[in-house]
Amino acid sequence: MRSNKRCNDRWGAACQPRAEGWPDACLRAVSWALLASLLVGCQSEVPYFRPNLVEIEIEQDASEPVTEDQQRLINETMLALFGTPDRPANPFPEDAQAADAQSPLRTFGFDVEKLKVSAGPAYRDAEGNQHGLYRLHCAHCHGVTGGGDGPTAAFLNPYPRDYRQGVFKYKSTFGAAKPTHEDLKRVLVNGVSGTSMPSFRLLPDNEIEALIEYVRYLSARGETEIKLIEYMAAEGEMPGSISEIAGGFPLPVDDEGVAEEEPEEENVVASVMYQWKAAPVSVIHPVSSPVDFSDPESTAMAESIARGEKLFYSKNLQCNSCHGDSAQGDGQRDKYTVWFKWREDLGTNNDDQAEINRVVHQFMDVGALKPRTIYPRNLRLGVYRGGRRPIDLYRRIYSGINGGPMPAQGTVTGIAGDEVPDSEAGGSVRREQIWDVVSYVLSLPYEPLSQGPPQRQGSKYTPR
Amino acid sequence: MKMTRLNVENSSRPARRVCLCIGLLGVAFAWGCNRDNLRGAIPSVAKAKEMRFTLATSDVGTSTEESSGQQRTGWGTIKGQIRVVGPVPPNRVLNVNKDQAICQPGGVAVRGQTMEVDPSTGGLANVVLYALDLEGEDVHEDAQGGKADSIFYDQKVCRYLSHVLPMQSSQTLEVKNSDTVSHNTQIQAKRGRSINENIPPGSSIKYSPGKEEKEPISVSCAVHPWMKAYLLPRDNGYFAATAKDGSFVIENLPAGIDLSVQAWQEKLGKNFDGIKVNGEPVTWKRGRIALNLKPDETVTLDVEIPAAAFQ
Repeated sequence: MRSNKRCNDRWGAACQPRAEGWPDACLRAVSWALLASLLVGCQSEVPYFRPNLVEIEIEQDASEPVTEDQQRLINETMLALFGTPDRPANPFPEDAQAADAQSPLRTFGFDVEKLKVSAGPAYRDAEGNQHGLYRLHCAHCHGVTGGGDGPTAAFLNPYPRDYRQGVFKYKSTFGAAKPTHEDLKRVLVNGVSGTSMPSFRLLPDNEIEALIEYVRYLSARGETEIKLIEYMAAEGEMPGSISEIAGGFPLPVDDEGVAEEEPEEENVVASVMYQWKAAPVSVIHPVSSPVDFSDPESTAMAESIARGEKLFYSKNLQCNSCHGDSAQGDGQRDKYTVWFKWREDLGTNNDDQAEINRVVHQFMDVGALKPRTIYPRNLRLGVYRGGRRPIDLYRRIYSGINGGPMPAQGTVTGIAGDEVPDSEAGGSVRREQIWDVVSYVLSLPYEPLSQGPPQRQGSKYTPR
Repeated sequence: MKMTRLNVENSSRPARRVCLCIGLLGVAFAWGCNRDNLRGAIPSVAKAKEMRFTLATSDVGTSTEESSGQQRTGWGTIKGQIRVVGPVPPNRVLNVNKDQAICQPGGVAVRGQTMEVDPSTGGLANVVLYALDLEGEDVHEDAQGGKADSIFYDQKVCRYLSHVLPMQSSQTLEVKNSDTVSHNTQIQAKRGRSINENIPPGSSIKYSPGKEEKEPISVSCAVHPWMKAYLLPRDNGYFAATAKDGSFVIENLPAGIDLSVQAWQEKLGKNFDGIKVNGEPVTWKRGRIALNLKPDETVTLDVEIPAAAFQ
């Protein structure tokens, strides 16, 4: 409390209430209160992993909701297994017993040292090493939890990736397989063209490596949580004891270090980590290309482009049904990706606006972003989110885009490339023909749209 | 604080209101900025610690198989009929916005198949029922898993010809496209294999789920987004989907053991509130029918679902 002696100082006017008008005094008091609340109130919260309330909303039955106690049990399990954003490996530093015990993350196969560098608040230590990489570079868009729900997320289009589904789009592996280490590295180093994801090429290699490990950690954490929620919503209990949930390690691996046997269902974390470990098996090796992409002016390339165009509009591939007759991405635009599965479940055909509004509000109330349909890529811009190398496009066409509507033209049996004969590879076209589609797609940005696509011999396409 | 109050009392009305507003704003500020309604249930640190110590000291991965101690005494059957009582709203008209010549022959409105009620009997088709948690000795040889044959799964006129299809997880689905446009079949499994493959006209692809699912998984087509169906891969043969008249039968279930038979319907999910079984109001918690059969017994379930459940 201010004493009368200090009433003459600069801010002491409140000591002489009758000498000045009350509004000044009142304003001053309120201003002080506001300032105090701003200073005190807003910086007190320690960053925490936000529970996946959207998933609970999706999974729970109207008649058997997941109770608060059940949610707490899930959150406690997550805390015990995956720690906190500041301390992933050891969330209980003050406890000597906890500090000595081996972190479960080590058992799960994470490089804990890398996680430590990425986790926590951003600062530079005395040696000049950067700490808190994730919060420095990623969290504002991807969120502390990796839910793609950082403060800037709502303003971006496309939305930042939500790692918690364990679904990644731009990768070299087939179908729903996880990305390889190199795939994640490529995304970090190159960024994702046409989106808000920048390139982190300027970061030193050890920092990029640390971030990749942290993204893997957030993804595995999020997927474990989803599996626990699914189980809890269906059965009203956890899939097993904490030892069972964290059990199943070490994963049985073959001579090349690739996981070979899938863990039991109750070994929830192991089931997730197995998918990551098994990813290299699913890498798509292309068949050798009939054309040389380094020589775009060659006759062979012109022929390949012509073949590719036919395929693009053919009944077999029907690329134009989504990418549009002019390949500007203006075909099918009303699908949702897995990140908005709750919206997709309402039905693309649903025209009950009241129901849609109700459900959208229900989900946005628990933290979902406003749902957006996915637009097929405008292929005339020359911007390729998954990479512009011919091999990237081959893989995109061969495998489709995981999580979204883009289907695979190849099958899992054909991923071994030239080692598998065409007769066994399956797929909607011969794999060599995929290279022709790649040629055509790569030529599209250079084709003058204003004149309409050239009417090549045999082309089924007629401009509208 | 005291000063402020004193002043307010002495002041005129509008001015007091202004001051009140500012004050409220201040309170709102102080109150609002620190709250996060997405925080969820706050975990107890002590409990999490305890779990961690359990982990540190236990042999990780040892599972304790609990046995019910019940002995199978024979085999029994459940059968019955699922009917809807009262008028159900018609299925939604699908928005066929593409390839109309093939998908909407004659321009006739196409409706969804969410609720397929037989007008004469009130029977509800496409309800799946499947017995949970049975394995080993408790599975009759006729219901044994491991069937490796192929099931023909066709799509025609942009429609899946089986709307809800239970199958064994070891079986293969031959997904055929009998239309003259391409379809892509996106099967989103939760535990087994997910696919999203393009199927050119007249050709087919093979899909083997590999793993059991606890609930039907969705089958859809990105090219024709109104197409929708469900698959239910199970590890044994204890499943049935109701026929057009709502009838079903699951044979050779183990007797003398507490059974849990899961029911699922596209619109209802597992929520079968307000139903009557054999005339008596019954609750199926989580859509599960609990029973214990006697040897060679056939339990008949005449299930009535009020039409209001589909509103």
